[in-house]
Amino acid sequence: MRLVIDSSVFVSSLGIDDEFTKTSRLFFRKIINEQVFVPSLVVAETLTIVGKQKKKSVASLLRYFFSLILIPLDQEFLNYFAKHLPTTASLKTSDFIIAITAKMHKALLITWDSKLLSSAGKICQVLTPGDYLKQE
Amino acid sequence: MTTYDIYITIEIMIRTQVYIQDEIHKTLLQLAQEKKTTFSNLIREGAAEVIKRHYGKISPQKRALRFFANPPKMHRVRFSKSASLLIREERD
Repeated sequence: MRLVIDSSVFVSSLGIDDEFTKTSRLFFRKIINEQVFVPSLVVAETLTIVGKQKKKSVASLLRYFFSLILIPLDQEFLNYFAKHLPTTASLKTSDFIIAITAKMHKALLITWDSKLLSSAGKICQVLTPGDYLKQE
Repeated sequence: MTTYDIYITIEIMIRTQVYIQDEIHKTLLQLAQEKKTTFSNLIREGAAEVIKRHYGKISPQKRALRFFANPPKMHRVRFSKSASLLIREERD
């Protein structure tokens, strides 16, 4: 299965007592053989949030992101983005970028973010890590 | 005139100190002489062998996913709010 993983899942897996930490980590354990796509925006968001609390770990964290399939905001992506940008969904630019990345790669979007969960469904298939684990 | 691009790879090494048994030390020195290499090279080869044996041929993606499945303590962060709230604040 092809998956696009949102920042909320990465950030919660790095948390200590976040409400979703346990499920996020279990989710990462279960998807070890799946094809994972990560929008570069997700990397930037995760680094920003982690960096605000623990600046030292940002550089080494980046090394792990570089081992995943990163999707850049390049010309190819922007062409696709322009063609598939819906006018109805009430999402912010970054939400669109993440949802459209999932659509572009025919991937399932995984997020804990309630706004993405409620609105990205118009663009791509979306689930929480918990729901994904229930389906397995 | 021809121009060439020259790429140089620099491997960063860390200097460290370890205690090893006298017998192993002597044997490695002897082996280094026989193989026309250095004692340090043999130590590095040995360390690389241990890592390979432990992780096998795991792909970089799998290694990254394993990292997020069980991040080392130094990478764990106590956030002031829930992860999804922090992300939403970045986006709104």
